[in-house]
Amino acid sequence: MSHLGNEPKTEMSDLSDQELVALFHQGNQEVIDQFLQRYQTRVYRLAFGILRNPQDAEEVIQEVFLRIFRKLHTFKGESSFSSWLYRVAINTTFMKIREKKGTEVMSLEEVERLLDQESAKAGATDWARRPDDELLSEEAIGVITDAMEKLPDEFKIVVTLRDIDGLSTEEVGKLLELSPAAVKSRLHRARLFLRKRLEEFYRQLYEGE
Amino acid sequence: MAEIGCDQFSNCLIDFVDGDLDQVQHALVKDHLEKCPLCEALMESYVKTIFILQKVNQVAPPKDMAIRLRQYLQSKLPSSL
Repeated sequence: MSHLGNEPKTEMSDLSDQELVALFHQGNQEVIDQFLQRYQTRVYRLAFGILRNPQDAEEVIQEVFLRIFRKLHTFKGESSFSSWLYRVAINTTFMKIREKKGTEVMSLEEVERLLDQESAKAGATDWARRPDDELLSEEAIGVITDAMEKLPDEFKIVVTLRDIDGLSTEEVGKLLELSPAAVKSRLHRARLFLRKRLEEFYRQLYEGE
Repeated sequence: MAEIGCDQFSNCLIDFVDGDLDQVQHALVKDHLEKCPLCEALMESYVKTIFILQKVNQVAPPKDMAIRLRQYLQSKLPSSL
């Protein structure tokens, strides 16, 4: 780490994760910087996506990378480095959730009941045709952020990995040990739930126009 | 050509939006959307929800997070850093 800035970073950044792990096994500690550069923002966003609290998310990434680098010498490459990292990040994030008492989340049954009430029909959804920059107000962002906080963790993690981190349905399924159908089911319900919250907000906002 | 109804549309909305339908199914959904403004509105708002969700979560880590992370690791892994 003390060498940061003196090393030919382009060379290190060209290496695959697997090659970096091999270098680490040979005693090269500088790969740690490269891994941090590659993954710290992604891990932070994953943790923040679930926890919705910057301080908690930061504590999680510290714990995640500490675990990863303490165990890296035993990493055999049976899964990809990024899969391993994601698994550690997910587990650490859920541990943080368990630490925090009193967080108000909806039960799966409550979410399902809400979604049943919703029905498949859209209702007043003209809002979706408004320009993107008009929709992306701070208030709208607050609405969807609040709605995310209310989702049960089982839904939140799927939305975060799939829609925010851009992992495929199959990748999410592997990480969470769910079938692709189960991933899709949770993702779909979560998206519908968030859509409903947005619709209520925009309906009030544009009422009377 | 076969047709699908609103219930069937609802069941395959996620696959339509995520591009997981085959060509025939995709054409059936498109055909239904042309005939059903309510399902079309549902689809549009569903897509827009995903769009807004992605924007919301493009959070930048706190300014000095990287420095604090390195300091933390340095204190815990002195031999490595």
